Amino acid sequence: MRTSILVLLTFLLPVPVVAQEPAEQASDILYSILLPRTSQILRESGVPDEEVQSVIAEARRRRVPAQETQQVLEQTLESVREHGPVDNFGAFVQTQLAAGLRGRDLAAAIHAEHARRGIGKGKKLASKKARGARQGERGLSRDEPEPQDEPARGQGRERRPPQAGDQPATRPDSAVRERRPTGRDTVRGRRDTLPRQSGGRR
Amino acid sequence: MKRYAAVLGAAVLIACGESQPAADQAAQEMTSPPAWVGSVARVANAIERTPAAADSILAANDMTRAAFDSLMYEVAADPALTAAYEALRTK
Repeated sequence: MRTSILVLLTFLLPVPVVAQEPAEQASDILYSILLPRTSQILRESGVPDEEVQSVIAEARRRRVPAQETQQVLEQTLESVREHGPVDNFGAFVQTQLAAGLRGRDLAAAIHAEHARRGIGKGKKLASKKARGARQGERGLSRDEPEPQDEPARGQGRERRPPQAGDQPATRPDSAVRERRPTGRDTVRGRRDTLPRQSGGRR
Repeated sequence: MKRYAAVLGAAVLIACGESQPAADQAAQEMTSPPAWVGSVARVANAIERTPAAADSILAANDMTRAAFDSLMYEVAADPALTAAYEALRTK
Protein backbone atom coordinates (compact mmCIF):
# COMPACT_ATOMS: atom_id res chain seq x y z
CA MET A 1 0.00 0.00 0.00
CA ARG A 2 2.76 2.37 1.04
CA THR A 3 4.67 1.55 -2.13
CA SER A 4 1.70 2.26 -4.33
CA ILE A 5 1.14 5.61 -2.59
CA LEU A 6 4.79 6.47 -3.16
CA VAL A 7 4.50 5.53 -6.82
CA LEU A 8 1.35 7.61 -7.12
CA LEU A 9 3.02 10.57 -5.43
CA THR A 10 5.93 10.28 -7.82
CA PHE A 11 3.57 10.73 -10.73
CA LEU A 12 1.74 13.57 -9.03
CA LEU A 13 4.90 15.53 -8.31
CA PRO A 14 5.35 18.50 -10.56
CA VAL A 15 7.17 17.47 -13.65
CA PRO A 16 10.43 19.39 -14.02
CA VAL A 17 10.60 21.63 -17.02
CA VAL A 18 12.02 19.65 -19.88
CA ALA A 19 15.45 20.93 -20.71
CA GLN A 20 15.75 22.74 -24.00
CA GLU A 21 17.12 20.55 -26.72
CA PRO A 22 20.68 21.31 -27.77
CA ALA A 23 19.56 22.02 -31.32
CA GLU A 24 17.12 24.66 -30.06
CA GLN A 25 19.79 26.23 -27.88
CA ALA A 26 22.14 26.34 -30.84
CA SER A 27 19.62 28.13 -33.03
CA ASP A 28 18.87 30.58 -30.21
CA ILE A 29 22.45 31.69 -30.10
CA LEU A 30 22.51 32.05 -33.88
CA TYR A 31 19.77 34.64 -33.49
CA SER A 32 21.76 36.46 -30.80
CA ILE A 33 24.72 36.77 -33.13
CA LEU A 34 22.58 38.70 -35.61
CA LEU A 35 21.35 41.32 -33.12
CA PRO A 36 23.99 43.99 -33.94
CA ARG A 37 23.44 43.63 -37.67
CA THR A 38 19.66 43.86 -37.42
CA SER A 39 19.87 46.92 -35.19
CA GLN A 40 22.21 48.54 -37.70
CA ILE A 41 19.92 47.80 -40.64
CA LEU A 42 17.05 49.23 -38.63
CA ARG A 43 19.02 52.47 -38.23
CA GLU A 44 19.79 52.51 -41.93
CA SER A 45 16.10 52.00 -42.66
CA GLY A 46 15.19 55.29 -41.05
CA VAL A 47 14.75 54.54 -37.37
CA PRO A 48 16.79 57.09 -35.40
CA ASP A 49 19.75 55.73 -33.47
CA GLU A 50 18.43 56.91 -30.11
CA GLU A 51 15.17 55.00 -30.70
CA VAL A 52 17.05 51.79 -31.48
CA GLN A 53 19.30 52.34 -28.49
CA SER A 54 16.37 52.86 -26.15
CA VAL A 55 14.74 49.61 -27.29
CA ILE A 56 17.99 47.68 -26.83
CA ALA A 57 18.63 49.27 -23.43
CA GLU A 58 15.12 48.47 -22.23
CA ALA A 59 15.23 44.88 -23.47
CA ARG A 60 18.59 44.42 -21.79
CA ARG A 61 17.35 46.01 -18.57
CA ARG A 62 14.37 43.66 -18.54
CA ARG A 63 16.68 40.70 -19.21
CA VAL A 64 14.97 39.76 -22.45
CA PRO A 65 17.16 37.14 -24.15
CA ALA A 66 19.14 38.62 -27.03
CA GLN A 67 17.74 36.12 -29.53
CA GLU A 68 14.22 37.24 -28.67
CA THR A 69 15.12 40.90 -29.11
CA GLN A 70 16.76 40.01 -32.41
CA GLN A 71 13.57 38.38 -33.66
CA VAL A 72 11.47 41.32 -32.52
CA LEU A 73 13.80 43.79 -34.24
CA GLU A 74 13.79 41.66 -37.36
CA GLN A 75 10.03 41.75 -37.53
CA THR A 76 10.13 45.45 -36.75
CA LEU A 77 12.39 45.86 -39.76
CA GLU A 78 9.79 44.16 -41.93
CA SER A 79 7.13 46.51 -40.56
CA VAL A 80 9.35 49.53 -41.21
CA ARG A 81 9.86 48.40 -44.79
CA GLU A 82 6.17 47.87 -45.24
CA HIS A 83 4.80 50.97 -43.56
CA GLY A 84 7.76 53.22 -42.81
CA PRO A 85 9.15 54.11 -39.39
CA VAL A 86 7.04 55.54 -36.60
CA ASP A 87 7.84 58.41 -34.34
CA ASN A 88 8.69 57.53 -30.73
CA PHE A 89 9.25 53.90 -31.62
CA GLY A 90 11.54 53.41 -28.62
CA ALA A 91 8.98 54.77 -26.19
CA PHE A 92 6.29 52.56 -27.72
CA VAL A 93 8.39 49.41 -27.32
CA GLN A 94 9.30 50.39 -23.78
CA THR A 95 5.61 50.67 -22.93
CA GLN A 96 4.89 47.28 -24.47
CA LEU A 97 7.79 45.64 -22.65
CA ALA A 98 6.59 47.21 -19.41
CA ALA A 99 3.13 45.78 -20.12
CA GLY A 100 4.72 42.33 -20.30
CA LEU A 101 4.60 41.77 -24.05
CA ARG A 102 7.37 39.61 -25.40
CA GLY A 103 8.29 37.72 -28.52
CA ARG A 104 5.63 37.34 -31.15
CA ASP A 105 3.07 39.34 -29.20
CA LEU A 106 5.46 42.25 -29.00
CA ALA A 107 6.32 41.93 -32.68
CA ALA A 108 2.59 41.92 -33.53
CA ALA A 109 1.99 45.04 -31.44
CA ILE A 110 4.89 46.78 -33.17
CA HIS A 111 3.60 45.72 -36.57
CA ALA A 112 0.12 47.09 -35.75
CA GLU A 113 1.66 50.35 -34.58
CA HIS A 114 3.60 50.70 -37.82
CA ALA A 115 0.50 49.94 -39.85
CA ARG A 116 -1.37 52.62 -37.92
CA ARG A 117 1.26 55.35 -37.73
CA GLY A 118 4.03 54.53 -40.20
CA ILE A 119 5.19 57.50 -42.27
CA GLY A 120 5.48 55.50 -45.45
CA LYS A 121 7.99 53.38 -47.31
CA GLY A 122 11.50 54.68 -47.80
CA LYS A 123 11.03 57.64 -45.47
CA LYS A 124 13.28 58.36 -42.57
CA LEU A 125 12.59 59.93 -39.25
CA ALA A 126 14.88 62.69 -38.14
CA SER A 127 16.70 62.10 -34.89
CA LYS A 128 15.64 64.18 -31.93
CA LYS A 129 18.80 66.28 -32.20
CA ALA A 130 18.21 67.02 -35.88
CA ARG A 131 14.58 67.78 -35.19
CA GLY A 132 15.53 70.22 -32.45
CA ALA A 133 18.10 71.93 -34.67
CA ARG A 134 15.62 72.21 -37.51
CA GLN A 135 13.01 73.72 -35.23
CA GLY A 136 15.62 76.18 -33.99
CA GLU A 137 16.51 77.17 -37.55
CA ARG A 138 12.92 77.73 -38.52
CA GLY A 139 12.14 79.46 -35.28
CA LEU A 140 9.41 76.98 -34.41
CA SER A 141 8.41 76.46 -30.87
CA ARG A 142 7.44 73.02 -29.63
CA ASP A 143 3.78 74.01 -29.51
CA GLU A 144 3.62 75.08 -33.11
CA PRO A 145 2.43 72.59 -35.69
CA GLU A 146 5.21 70.87 -37.57
CA PRO A 147 5.72 71.16 -41.30
CA GLN A 148 3.78 69.08 -43.79
CA ASP A 149 6.74 67.07 -45.08
CA GLU A 150 6.42 64.75 -42.09
CA PRO A 151 2.86 63.57 -42.26
CA ALA A 152 2.80 61.09 -39.39
CA ARG A 153 4.20 63.41 -36.81
CA GLY A 154 1.56 65.23 -34.91
CA GLN A 155 -1.13 62.74 -35.81
CA GLY A 156 -1.75 59.80 -33.62
CA ARG A 157 0.74 60.84 -31.00
CA GLU A 158 -1.46 59.33 -28.37
CA ARG A 159 -0.50 55.73 -28.00
CA ARG A 160 -3.15 53.07 -27.81
CA PRO A 161 -2.62 51.16 -24.59
CA PRO A 162 -2.48 47.40 -24.98
CA GLN A 163 -5.97 46.01 -24.74
CA ALA A 164 -6.79 42.76 -23.14
CA GLY A 165 -8.83 41.69 -26.12
CA ASP A 166 -6.19 41.90 -28.80
CA GLN A 167 -2.87 41.20 -27.13
CA PRO A 168 -2.22 38.81 -24.29
CA ALA A 169 -0.17 40.31 -21.47
CA THR A 170 2.24 37.44 -21.39
CA ARG A 171 3.53 35.14 -24.02
CA PRO A 172 3.64 31.39 -24.01
CA ASP A 173 7.09 29.95 -23.55
CA SER A 174 7.02 28.58 -27.03
CA ALA A 175 6.62 32.05 -28.51
CA VAL A 176 9.18 33.11 -31.09
CA ARG A 177 10.49 29.59 -31.35
CA GLU A 178 8.62 28.62 -34.45
CA ARG A 179 11.08 29.95 -36.97
CA ARG A 180 14.59 28.70 -36.56
CA PRO A 181 17.59 30.25 -38.21
CA THR A 182 19.58 27.93 -40.36
CA GLY A 183 23.11 29.18 -40.36
CA ARG A 184 22.95 32.37 -42.39
CA ASP A 185 19.22 32.54 -42.47
CA THR A 186 17.16 35.52 -41.34
CA VAL A 187 18.59 38.93 -42.05
CA ARG A 188 21.75 37.80 -43.70
CA GLY A 189 19.88 35.50 -46.04
CA ARG A 190 18.20 38.53 -47.53
CA ARG A 191 21.36 40.50 -48.08
CA ASP A 192 20.59 41.54 -51.62
CA THR A 193 17.54 43.46 -50.56
CA LEU A 194 19.16 45.07 -47.56
CA PRO A 195 20.97 48.36 -47.43
CA ARG A 196 24.74 48.04 -47.52
CA GLN A 197 26.48 47.83 -44.20
CA SER A 198 28.87 50.71 -43.86
CA GLY A 199 32.42 49.71 -43.15
CA GLY A 200 31.66 46.00 -43.37
CA ARG A 201 33.67 43.49 -45.38
CA ARG A 202 30.75 41.39 -46.41
CA MET B 1 59.59 93.16 -29.58
CA LYS B 2 60.55 91.28 -32.74
CA ARG B 3 62.56 88.90 -30.60
CA TYR B 4 59.59 88.15 -28.40
CA ALA B 5 57.41 87.50 -31.43
CA ALA B 6 59.98 85.11 -32.86
CA VAL B 7 60.26 83.21 -29.58
CA LEU B 8 56.48 83.07 -29.30
CA GLY B 9 56.18 81.81 -32.88
CA ALA B 10 58.78 79.12 -32.27
CA ALA B 11 56.99 78.04 -29.11
CA VAL B 12 53.71 77.76 -30.97
CA LEU B 13 55.35 75.72 -33.72
CA ILE B 14 56.95 73.36 -31.19
CA ALA B 15 53.66 72.97 -29.34
CA CYS B 16 51.82 72.15 -32.57
CA GLY B 17 54.50 69.68 -33.58
CA GLU B 18 54.28 67.89 -30.26
CA SER B 19 50.52 67.83 -30.10
CA GLN B 20 50.19 66.25 -33.57
CA PRO B 21 51.26 62.72 -32.56
CA ALA B 22 49.07 62.95 -29.46
CA ALA B 23 46.12 63.96 -31.62
CA ASP B 24 46.85 61.09 -34.02
CA GLN B 25 47.01 58.65 -31.14
CA ALA B 26 43.73 59.95 -29.73
CA ALA B 27 42.10 59.65 -33.16
CA GLN B 28 43.40 56.10 -33.50
CA GLU B 29 42.04 55.22 -30.08
CA MET B 30 38.71 56.64 -31.11
CA THR B 31 38.59 54.66 -34.34
CA SER B 32 40.02 51.34 -33.20
CA PRO B 33 37.40 49.22 -31.48
CA PRO B 34 37.97 47.75 -28.03
CA ALA B 35 39.73 44.37 -28.02
CA TRP B 36 36.69 42.60 -26.59
CA VAL B 37 34.73 43.32 -29.78
CA GLY B 38 37.29 41.25 -31.67
CA SER B 39 36.92 38.42 -29.15
CA VAL B 40 33.14 38.51 -29.43
CA ALA B 41 33.31 38.47 -33.22
CA ARG B 42 35.68 35.50 -33.16
CA VAL B 43 33.39 33.63 -30.78
CA ALA B 44 30.40 34.46 -33.00
CA ASN B 45 32.25 33.19 -36.07
CA ALA B 46 33.15 29.95 -34.33
CA ILE B 47 29.58 29.43 -33.12
CA GLU B 48 28.21 30.11 -36.56
CA ARG B 49 30.52 27.50 -38.04
CA THR B 50 29.51 24.87 -35.47
CA PRO B 51 26.33 25.91 -33.69
CA ALA B 52 26.08 22.58 -31.89
CA ALA B 53 29.34 23.32 -30.11
CA ALA B 54 28.17 26.75 -28.94
CA ASP B 55 28.43 25.99 -25.26
CA SER B 56 31.91 24.54 -25.47
CA ILE B 57 33.06 27.49 -27.59
CA LEU B 58 31.66 29.90 -25.01
CA ALA B 59 33.28 27.97 -22.18
CA ALA B 60 36.62 27.95 -23.97
CA ASN B 61 36.39 31.74 -24.10
CA ASP B 62 35.33 32.09 -20.46
CA MET B 63 31.82 33.14 -21.41
CA THR B 64 28.35 32.07 -20.47
CA ARG B 65 25.30 32.50 -22.67
CA ALA B 66 24.12 35.35 -20.46
CA ALA B 67 27.48 37.06 -20.75
CA PHE B 68 27.47 36.58 -24.51
CA ASP B 69 23.95 38.01 -24.71
CA SER B 70 25.05 40.99 -22.68
CA LEU B 71 27.96 41.63 -25.06
CA MET B 72 25.64 41.33 -28.04
CA TYR B 73 23.42 44.01 -26.50
CA GLU B 74 26.48 46.16 -25.85
CA VAL B 75 27.59 45.90 -29.47
CA ALA B 76 24.12 46.36 -30.93
CA ALA B 77 23.53 49.55 -28.95
CA ASP B 78 26.54 51.28 -30.49
CA PRO B 79 26.78 51.85 -34.26
CA ALA B 80 30.60 52.12 -34.15
CA LEU B 81 30.96 48.86 -32.23
CA THR B 82 28.46 47.24 -34.56
CA ALA B 83 30.48 48.30 -37.60
CA ALA B 84 33.66 46.93 -36.03
CA TYR B 85 31.94 43.67 -35.06
CA GLU B 86 30.46 43.19 -38.52
CA ALA B 87 33.80 43.93 -40.16
CA LEU B 88 35.38 41.18 -38.09
CA ARG B 89 32.67 38.66 -38.83
CA THR B 90 33.40 36.15 -41.56
CA LYS B 91 31.42 36.17 -44.75
